[in-house]
Amino acid sequence: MSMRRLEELLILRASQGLSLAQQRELDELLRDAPGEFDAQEYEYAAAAVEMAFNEGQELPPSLRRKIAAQGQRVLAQKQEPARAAEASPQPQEVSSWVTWGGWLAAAVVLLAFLLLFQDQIFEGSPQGRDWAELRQELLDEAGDVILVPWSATEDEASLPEASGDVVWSNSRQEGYIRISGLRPNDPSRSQYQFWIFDQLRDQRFPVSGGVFDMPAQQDEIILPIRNWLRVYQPGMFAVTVEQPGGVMVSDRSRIALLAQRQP
Amino acid sequence: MSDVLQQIANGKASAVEDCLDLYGGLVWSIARRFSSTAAQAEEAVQEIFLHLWQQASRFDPGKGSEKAFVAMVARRRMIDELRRLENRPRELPLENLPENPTSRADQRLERSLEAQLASRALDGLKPDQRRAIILSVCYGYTHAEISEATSTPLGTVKSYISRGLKKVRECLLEGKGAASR
Repeated sequence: MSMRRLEELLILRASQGLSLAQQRELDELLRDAPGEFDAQEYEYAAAAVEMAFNEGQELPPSLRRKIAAQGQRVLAQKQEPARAAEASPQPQEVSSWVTWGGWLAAAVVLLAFLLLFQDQIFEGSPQGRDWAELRQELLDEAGDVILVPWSATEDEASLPEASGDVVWSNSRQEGYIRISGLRPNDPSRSQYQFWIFDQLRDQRFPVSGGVFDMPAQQDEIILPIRNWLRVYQPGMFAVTVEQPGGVMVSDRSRIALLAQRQP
Repeated sequence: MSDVLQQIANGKASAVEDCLDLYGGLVWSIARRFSSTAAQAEEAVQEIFLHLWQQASRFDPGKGSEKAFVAMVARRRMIDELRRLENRPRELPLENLPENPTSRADQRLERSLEAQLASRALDGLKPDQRRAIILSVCYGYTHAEISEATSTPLGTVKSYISRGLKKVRECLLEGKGAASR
Protein backbone atom coordinates (compact mmCIF):
# COMPACT_ATOMS: atom_id res chain seq x y z
CA MET A 1 0.00 0.00 0.00
CA SER A 2 2.75 2.45 0.93
CA MET A 3 4.58 1.72 -2.34
CA ARG A 4 1.43 2.47 -4.26
CA ARG A 5 0.92 5.67 -2.32
CA LEU A 6 4.55 6.62 -2.83
CA GLU A 7 4.22 6.27 -6.58
CA GLU A 8 0.92 8.14 -6.51
CA LEU A 9 2.56 11.07 -4.73
CA LEU A 10 5.55 11.08 -7.08
CA ILE A 11 3.19 11.27 -10.06
CA LEU A 12 1.17 13.98 -8.37
CA ARG A 13 4.33 15.97 -7.68
CA ALA A 14 5.43 15.66 -11.30
CA SER A 15 2.08 16.69 -12.71
CA GLN A 16 0.50 19.28 -10.42
CA GLY A 17 2.71 19.70 -7.37
CA LEU A 18 2.09 18.74 -3.76
CA SER A 19 0.55 20.42 -0.78
CA LEU A 20 2.75 20.80 2.30
CA ALA A 21 1.00 17.83 3.94
CA GLN A 22 1.51 15.69 0.85
CA GLN A 23 5.16 16.72 0.66
CA ARG A 24 5.66 15.69 4.27
CA GLU A 25 3.98 12.37 3.57
CA LEU A 26 6.19 11.83 0.53
CA ASP A 27 9.32 12.64 2.52
CA GLU A 28 8.35 10.05 5.13
CA LEU A 29 7.60 7.38 2.54
CA LEU A 30 10.88 8.02 0.75
CA ARG A 31 12.72 7.82 4.05
CA ASP A 32 11.05 4.50 4.85
CA ALA A 33 11.68 3.02 1.44
CA PRO A 34 15.10 4.15 0.28
CA GLY A 35 15.96 2.94 -3.20
CA GLU A 36 12.48 1.68 -4.04
CA PHE A 37 11.92 4.51 -6.48
CA ASP A 38 14.13 7.10 -8.05
CA ALA A 39 12.28 10.10 -6.64
CA GLN A 40 12.93 12.14 -9.78
CA GLU A 41 11.95 9.66 -12.47
CA TYR A 42 8.42 10.96 -12.87
CA GLU A 43 9.63 14.54 -12.90
CA TYR A 44 12.04 13.58 -15.66
CA ALA A 45 9.17 11.92 -17.50
CA ALA A 46 7.12 15.11 -17.23
CA ALA A 47 10.15 17.12 -18.39
CA ALA A 48 10.46 14.84 -21.43
CA VAL A 49 6.79 15.48 -22.29
CA GLU A 50 7.45 19.19 -21.92
CA MET A 51 10.47 18.91 -24.23
CA ALA A 52 8.40 17.05 -26.82
CA PHE A 53 5.96 19.91 -27.06
CA ASN A 54 8.22 22.82 -26.27
CA GLU A 55 8.22 25.43 -28.95
CA GLY A 56 11.44 27.10 -27.80
CA GLN A 57 10.56 30.78 -28.00
CA GLU A 58 13.50 33.12 -28.00
CA LEU A 59 14.46 34.70 -24.70
CA PRO A 60 13.85 38.48 -24.90
CA PRO A 61 17.26 40.17 -25.42
CA SER A 62 16.97 42.55 -22.45
CA LEU A 63 16.04 39.70 -20.12
CA ARG A 64 18.86 37.60 -21.50
CA ARG A 65 21.37 40.37 -20.79
CA LYS A 66 20.09 40.67 -17.24
CA ILE A 67 20.29 36.94 -16.61
CA ALA A 68 23.75 36.70 -18.19
CA ALA A 69 25.03 39.48 -15.95
CA GLN A 70 23.50 37.75 -12.95
CA GLY A 71 25.19 34.49 -13.99
CA GLN A 72 28.58 36.16 -14.34
CA ARG A 73 28.26 37.64 -10.86
CA VAL A 74 27.24 34.31 -9.33
CA LEU A 75 30.15 32.52 -10.94
CA ALA A 76 32.58 35.26 -9.98
CA GLN A 77 31.47 35.03 -6.38
CA LYS A 78 31.73 31.26 -6.40
CA GLN A 79 35.30 31.63 -7.62
CA GLU A 80 36.25 34.27 -5.14
CA PRO A 81 34.17 33.85 -2.00
CA ALA A 82 36.69 35.63 0.16
CA ARG A 83 36.75 38.68 -2.02
CA ALA A 84 32.98 38.65 -2.24
CA ALA A 85 32.71 38.64 1.52
CA GLU A 86 35.09 41.57 1.77
CA ALA A 87 33.07 43.44 -0.81
CA SER A 88 29.90 43.40 1.27
CA PRO A 89 28.91 47.05 1.42
CA GLN A 90 28.26 49.13 4.49
CA PRO A 91 26.21 51.82 2.83
CA GLN A 92 24.20 54.56 4.41
CA GLU A 93 21.07 53.28 2.78
CA VAL A 94 20.88 49.82 1.34
CA SER A 95 18.23 47.58 -0.07
CA SER A 96 18.67 43.87 0.37
CA TRP A 97 16.27 41.60 -1.32
CA VAL A 98 15.92 37.91 -1.02
CA THR A 99 13.84 35.21 -2.52
CA TRP A 100 12.13 32.76 -0.24
CA GLY A 101 10.61 30.36 -2.72
CA GLY A 102 10.26 27.11 -0.85
CA TRP A 103 11.87 25.21 -3.65
CA LEU A 104 15.07 27.21 -3.58
CA ALA A 105 17.82 25.81 -1.47
CA ALA A 106 19.07 27.92 1.37
CA ALA A 107 22.36 28.37 -0.40
CA VAL A 108 20.67 29.94 -3.38
CA VAL A 109 18.80 32.28 -1.13
CA LEU A 110 21.98 33.29 0.60
CA LEU A 111 23.69 33.93 -2.69
CA ALA A 112 20.77 35.89 -4.07
CA PHE A 113 20.86 37.94 -0.91
CA LEU A 114 24.53 38.77 -1.35
CA LEU A 115 24.16 39.55 -5.03
CA LEU A 116 21.09 41.64 -4.80
CA PHE A 117 22.41 43.36 -1.77
CA GLN A 118 25.30 44.55 -3.87
CA ASP A 119 23.05 45.35 -6.80
CA GLN A 120 20.76 47.64 -4.93
CA ILE A 121 22.99 49.95 -3.03
CA PHE A 122 21.16 53.18 -2.67
CA GLU A 123 22.79 55.78 -4.86
CA GLY A 124 20.39 58.62 -4.61
CA SER A 125 17.20 59.34 -6.47
CA PRO A 126 17.18 59.28 -10.27
CA GLN A 127 17.93 62.38 -12.33
CA GLY A 128 18.25 64.64 -9.35
CA ARG A 129 14.65 64.26 -8.26
CA ASP A 130 14.10 63.54 -4.63
CA TRP A 131 12.16 60.64 -3.26
CA ALA A 132 9.44 62.88 -1.87
CA GLU A 133 8.71 64.17 -5.36
CA LEU A 134 8.64 60.67 -6.83
CA ARG A 135 6.41 59.47 -4.01
CA GLN A 136 3.96 62.29 -4.72
CA GLU A 137 4.05 61.45 -8.41
CA LEU A 138 3.14 57.87 -7.63
CA LEU A 139 0.27 59.02 -5.43
CA ASP A 140 -1.01 61.28 -8.19
CA GLU A 141 -0.62 58.94 -11.12
CA ALA A 142 -0.99 55.32 -10.05
CA GLY A 143 -4.61 54.24 -10.16
CA ASP A 144 -4.16 51.43 -7.67
CA VAL A 145 -1.96 53.21 -5.17
CA ILE A 146 -2.54 52.49 -1.48
CA LEU A 147 -1.44 54.58 1.49
CA VAL A 148 -1.13 52.77 4.81
CA PRO A 149 -0.15 54.72 7.97
CA TRP A 150 2.47 53.44 10.38
CA SER A 151 1.64 52.62 13.99
CA ALA A 152 4.26 52.82 16.72
CA THR A 153 4.98 49.73 18.81
CA GLU A 154 6.33 49.28 22.31
CA ASP A 155 9.83 48.63 21.03
CA GLU A 156 12.36 51.12 22.35
CA ALA A 157 13.32 52.09 18.79
CA SER A 158 9.88 53.51 18.21
CA LEU A 159 9.03 56.87 19.77
CA PRO A 160 5.40 57.34 20.83
CA GLU A 161 4.95 59.99 18.17
CA ALA A 162 6.33 57.73 15.42
CA SER A 163 4.39 58.26 12.22
CA GLY A 164 4.53 58.15 8.45
CA ASP A 165 3.15 55.79 5.88
CA VAL A 166 3.74 53.25 3.18
CA VAL A 167 2.71 54.16 -0.35
CA TRP A 168 2.50 51.26 -2.75
CA SER A 169 1.28 50.56 -6.28
CA ASN A 170 0.86 46.93 -7.19
CA SER A 171 0.61 47.52 -10.91
CA ARG A 172 3.86 49.47 -10.94
CA GLN A 173 5.49 47.38 -8.23
CA GLU A 174 6.72 50.65 -6.86
CA GLY A 175 6.41 52.22 -3.46
CA TYR A 176 7.90 54.49 -0.80
CA ILE A 177 8.14 54.51 2.96
CA ARG A 178 7.91 57.76 4.88
CA ILE A 179 8.98 57.57 8.50
CA SER A 180 9.48 59.92 11.39
CA GLY A 181 9.81 59.12 15.08
CA LEU A 182 12.28 56.25 14.89
CA ARG A 183 15.33 56.52 17.10
CA PRO A 184 18.58 57.11 15.21
CA ASN A 185 20.54 53.89 14.92
CA ASP A 186 24.24 53.10 14.98
CA PRO A 187 24.74 51.22 11.68
CA SER A 188 27.67 49.31 13.13
CA ARG A 189 25.37 47.80 15.76
CA SER A 190 21.95 47.53 14.15
CA GLN A 191 19.91 48.62 11.16
CA TYR A 192 16.24 48.92 10.35
CA GLN A 193 14.68 46.53 7.85
CA PHE A 194 11.43 46.98 5.97
CA TRP A 195 9.14 44.00 5.21
CA ILE A 196 6.08 43.39 3.06
CA PHE A 197 3.64 40.68 4.10
CA ASP A 198 2.16 39.40 0.86
CA GLN A 199 -1.12 37.60 1.46
CA LEU A 200 -0.43 35.29 -1.43
CA ARG A 201 2.90 34.20 -0.01
CA ASP A 202 3.82 32.14 3.00
CA GLN A 203 3.38 34.53 5.95
CA ARG A 204 6.46 33.13 7.63
CA PHE A 205 8.52 34.65 4.86
CA PRO A 206 7.60 38.25 4.16
CA VAL A 207 9.28 39.99 1.25
CA SER A 208 12.19 42.08 2.39
CA GLY A 209 11.89 45.71 1.40
CA GLY A 210 15.30 47.02 2.36
CA VAL A 211 17.73 47.87 5.10
CA PHE A 212 18.04 51.48 6.11
CA ASP A 213 19.34 53.83 8.77
CA MET A 214 17.64 56.61 10.66
CA PRO A 215 20.10 59.52 10.69
CA ALA A 216 20.33 61.54 13.90
CA GLN A 217 19.99 64.88 12.13
CA GLN A 218 16.88 64.02 10.17
CA ASP A 219 13.30 64.18 11.44
CA GLU A 220 11.78 62.35 8.51
CA ILE A 221 13.06 59.99 5.88
CA ILE A 222 11.47 58.93 2.59
CA LEU A 223 12.91 55.90 0.88
CA PRO A 224 11.95 53.84 -2.15
CA ILE A 225 10.85 50.24 -1.71
CA ARG A 226 13.04 48.02 -3.81
CA ASN A 227 11.35 44.66 -3.60
CA TRP A 228 13.21 42.14 -5.67
CA LEU A 229 10.35 39.67 -5.50
CA ARG A 230 7.03 40.58 -7.01
CA VAL A 231 4.42 41.54 -4.44
CA TYR A 232 0.94 40.30 -5.27
CA GLN A 233 -1.36 41.24 -2.41
CA PRO A 234 0.26 43.27 0.35
CA GLY A 235 -1.61 42.96 3.62
CA MET A 236 0.79 44.39 6.16
CA PHE A 237 4.12 46.20 6.33
CA ALA A 238 6.64 46.20 9.14
CA VAL A 239 9.96 47.69 10.18
CA THR A 240 12.17 45.51 12.35
CA VAL A 241 15.47 46.13 14.07
CA GLU A 242 18.11 43.75 12.78
CA GLN A 243 21.82 43.13 12.73
CA PRO A 244 23.87 45.37 10.40
CA GLY A 245 23.12 44.44 6.82
CA GLY A 246 19.73 42.96 7.64
CA VAL A 247 18.63 39.36 7.72
CA MET A 248 17.02 36.94 5.33
CA VAL A 249 14.38 35.82 7.81
CA SER A 250 13.62 37.99 10.81
CA ASP A 251 12.98 36.46 14.23
CA ARG A 252 10.66 39.46 14.72
CA SER A 253 11.89 39.96 18.23
CA ARG A 254 12.09 43.71 17.65
CA ILE A 255 9.27 45.19 15.60
CA ALA A 256 9.57 48.96 15.52
CA LEU A 257 6.67 49.91 13.25
CA LEU A 258 3.61 48.26 11.79
CA ALA A 259 1.29 49.32 9.00
CA GLN A 260 -1.80 47.19 8.65
CA ARG A 261 -3.81 47.55 5.48
CA GLN A 262 -7.53 47.84 6.18
CA PRO A 263 -9.75 45.38 4.27
CA MET B 1 26.12 15.73 -25.27
CA SER B 2 26.39 19.14 -23.61
CA ASP B 3 28.40 19.59 -20.44
CA VAL B 4 27.57 23.23 -19.99
CA LEU B 5 26.13 22.68 -16.50
CA GLN B 6 29.35 21.01 -15.45
CA GLN B 7 31.23 24.03 -16.78
CA ILE B 8 28.91 26.31 -14.80
CA ALA B 9 29.54 24.21 -11.71
CA ASN B 10 33.27 24.63 -12.32
CA GLY B 11 32.84 28.38 -12.49
CA LYS B 12 33.63 28.81 -16.19
CA ALA B 13 32.28 32.25 -17.03
CA SER B 14 31.90 31.67 -20.77
CA ALA B 15 29.48 28.83 -20.04
CA VAL B 16 26.84 31.35 -18.97
CA GLU B 17 26.21 32.48 -22.56
CA ASP B 18 26.37 28.89 -23.79
CA CYS B 19 23.79 27.88 -21.21
CA LEU B 20 21.49 30.70 -22.31
CA ASP B 21 21.99 29.74 -25.96
CA LEU B 22 21.03 26.17 -25.22
CA TYR B 23 18.28 26.54 -22.67
CA GLY B 24 17.13 30.16 -22.61
CA GLY B 25 14.34 29.49 -25.11
CA LEU B 26 13.24 26.32 -23.37
CA VAL B 27 12.95 28.02 -19.98
CA TRP B 28 11.33 31.12 -21.41
CA SER B 29 8.64 29.19 -23.26
CA ILE B 30 7.83 27.12 -20.16
CA ALA B 31 7.64 30.24 -18.01
CA ARG B 32 5.57 32.09 -20.58
CA ARG B 33 3.07 29.26 -20.91
CA PHE B 34 2.65 28.89 -17.16
CA SER B 35 2.43 32.63 -16.45
CA SER B 36 -0.45 34.96 -17.04
CA THR B 37 1.80 37.96 -17.69
CA ALA B 38 5.18 38.53 -19.29
CA ALA B 39 6.36 40.24 -16.09
CA GLN B 40 5.64 37.13 -14.04
CA ALA B 41 7.42 35.01 -16.63
CA GLU B 42 10.48 37.28 -16.57
CA GLU B 43 10.68 37.10 -12.80
CA ALA B 44 10.36 33.34 -12.88
CA VAL B 45 13.02 32.90 -15.56
CA GLN B 46 15.48 34.94 -13.51
CA GLU B 47 14.83 32.78 -10.46
CA ILE B 48 15.17 29.60 -12.50
CA PHE B 49 18.53 30.62 -13.90
CA LEU B 50 19.72 31.83 -10.52
CA HIS B 51 18.94 28.35 -9.28
CA LEU B 52 20.84 26.83 -12.20
CA TRP B 53 23.90 29.02 -11.74
CA GLN B 54 24.13 27.91 -8.14
CA GLN B 55 22.88 24.34 -8.35
CA ALA B 56 24.41 23.22 -11.64
CA SER B 57 26.55 20.68 -9.77
CA ARG B 58 23.39 18.82 -8.78
CA PHE B 59 22.86 17.69 -12.35
CA ASP B 60 23.36 13.93 -12.58
CA PRO B 61 23.91 12.78 -16.18
CA GLY B 62 22.95 9.27 -15.12
CA LYS B 63 19.36 10.35 -14.65
CA GLY B 64 18.72 12.24 -17.85
CA SER B 65 20.02 14.89 -20.20
CA GLU B 66 20.97 18.40 -19.22
CA LYS B 67 18.01 19.68 -21.15
CA ALA B 68 15.64 17.44 -19.19
CA PHE B 69 17.22 18.61 -15.93
CA VAL B 70 16.73 22.25 -16.91
CA ALA B 71 13.13 21.57 -17.96
CA MET B 72 12.53 19.79 -14.66
CA VAL B 73 13.91 22.70 -12.64
CA ALA B 74 11.83 25.17 -14.64
CA ARG B 75 8.64 23.12 -14.27
CA ARG B 76 9.17 22.80 -10.51
CA ARG B 77 9.47 26.53 -10.17
CA MET B 78 6.41 27.20 -12.28
CA ILE B 79 4.26 24.58 -10.54
CA ASP B 80 5.30 26.06 -7.22
CA GLU B 81 4.22 29.47 -8.43
CA LEU B 82 0.91 28.23 -9.81
CA ARG B 83 -0.02 26.47 -6.62
CA ARG B 84 0.76 29.63 -4.69
CA LEU B 85 -1.57 31.64 -6.89
CA GLU B 86 -4.41 29.17 -6.88
CA ASN B 87 -7.10 31.70 -7.61
CA ARG B 88 -5.55 32.76 -10.85
CA PRO B 89 -8.05 33.32 -13.65
CA ARG B 90 -6.96 31.14 -16.53
CA GLU B 91 -8.79 29.58 -19.41
CA LEU B 92 -7.90 26.12 -20.53
CA PRO B 93 -6.70 26.16 -24.14
CA LEU B 94 -8.83 23.18 -25.10
CA GLU B 95 -9.13 24.24 -28.72
CA ASN B 96 -5.52 25.17 -29.26
CA LEU B 97 -3.49 22.36 -27.84
CA PRO B 98 -0.26 21.64 -29.65
CA GLU B 99 -0.39 18.89 -32.21
CA ASN B 100 1.26 15.56 -31.66
CA PRO B 101 4.95 16.36 -32.12
CA THR B 102 5.72 13.10 -33.89
CA SER B 103 3.53 14.25 -36.75
CA ARG B 104 5.81 17.24 -37.33
CA ALA B 105 8.48 15.65 -39.48
CA ASP B 106 10.46 18.87 -39.71
CA GLN B 107 11.04 18.87 -35.98
CA ARG B 108 11.77 15.20 -35.42
CA LEU B 109 15.47 15.44 -36.04
CA GLU B 110 15.92 18.50 -33.88
CA ARG B 111 14.40 16.94 -30.80
CA SER B 112 16.37 15.18 -28.15
CA LEU B 113 16.13 11.46 -27.61
CA GLU B 114 14.04 12.01 -24.47
CA ALA B 115 11.58 14.21 -26.33
CA GLN B 116 11.29 11.62 -29.09
CA LEU B 117 10.72 8.83 -26.58
CA ALA B 118 8.05 10.87 -24.84
CA SER B 119 6.39 11.60 -28.17
CA ARG B 120 6.37 7.93 -28.99
CA ALA B 121 4.81 7.11 -25.64
CA LEU B 122 2.14 9.76 -26.13
CA ASP B 123 1.40 8.37 -29.58
CA GLY B 124 -0.01 5.27 -28.00
CA LEU B 125 -2.47 7.18 -25.83
CA LYS B 126 -6.10 7.88 -26.56
CA PRO B 127 -6.80 11.53 -27.52
CA ASP B 128 -8.55 12.26 -24.21
CA GLN B 129 -5.66 10.82 -22.28
CA ARG B 130 -3.10 12.76 -24.30
CA ARG B 131 -5.09 15.94 -23.77
CA ALA B 132 -5.11 15.41 -20.00
CA ILE B 133 -1.34 14.89 -19.99
CA ILE B 134 -0.68 18.02 -22.04
CA LEU B 135 -2.97 20.20 -19.94
CA SER B 136 -1.37 18.94 -16.76
CA VAL B 137 2.28 18.76 -17.73
CA CYS B 138 2.61 21.55 -20.27
CA TYR B 139 0.12 24.04 -18.83
CA GLY B 140 0.17 23.21 -15.14
CA TYR B 141 -3.55 22.67 -14.66
CA THR B 142 -4.58 20.62 -11.67
CA HIS B 143 -6.37 17.35 -12.11
CA ALA B 144 -9.53 18.94 -10.69
CA GLU B 145 -9.35 21.84 -13.15
CA ILE B 146 -8.96 19.45 -16.06
CA SER B 147 -11.84 17.34 -14.78
CA GLU B 148 -14.12 20.34 -14.63
CA ALA B 149 -13.12 21.87 -17.94
CA THR B 150 -13.36 18.63 -19.89
CA SER B 151 -16.39 17.23 -18.04
CA THR B 152 -14.41 14.13 -17.23
CA PRO B 153 -14.67 12.41 -13.83
CA LEU B 154 -11.78 13.35 -11.58
CA GLY B 155 -10.81 9.71 -11.08
CA THR B 156 -10.58 9.25 -14.83
CA VAL B 157 -8.36 12.32 -15.22
CA LYS B 158 -6.06 11.08 -12.45
CA SER B 159 -5.91 7.70 -14.09
CA TYR B 160 -5.15 9.20 -17.53
CA ILE B 161 -2.30 11.24 -16.15
CA SER B 162 -0.93 8.48 -13.98
CA ARG B 163 -0.95 5.89 -16.74
CA GLY B 164 0.42 8.35 -19.26
CA LEU B 165 3.37 9.37 -17.10
CA LYS B 166 4.07 5.74 -16.24
CA LYS B 167 4.19 4.96 -19.92
CA VAL B 168 6.55 7.85 -20.63
CA ARG B 169 8.75 6.80 -17.72
CA GLU B 170 8.92 3.22 -19.02
CA CYS B 171 9.85 4.45 -22.50
CA LEU B 172 12.59 6.64 -21.07
CA LEU B 173 13.98 3.79 -18.98
CA GLU B 174 13.92 1.44 -21.96
CA GLY B 175 15.57 4.08 -24.13
CA LYS B 176 18.23 4.69 -21.53
CA GLY B 177 18.85 0.96 -21.25
CA ALA B 178 19.13 0.59 -25.01
CA ALA B 179 21.51 3.53 -25.24
CA SER B 180 23.81 2.09 -22.61
CA ARG B 181 23.98 -1.34 -24.29
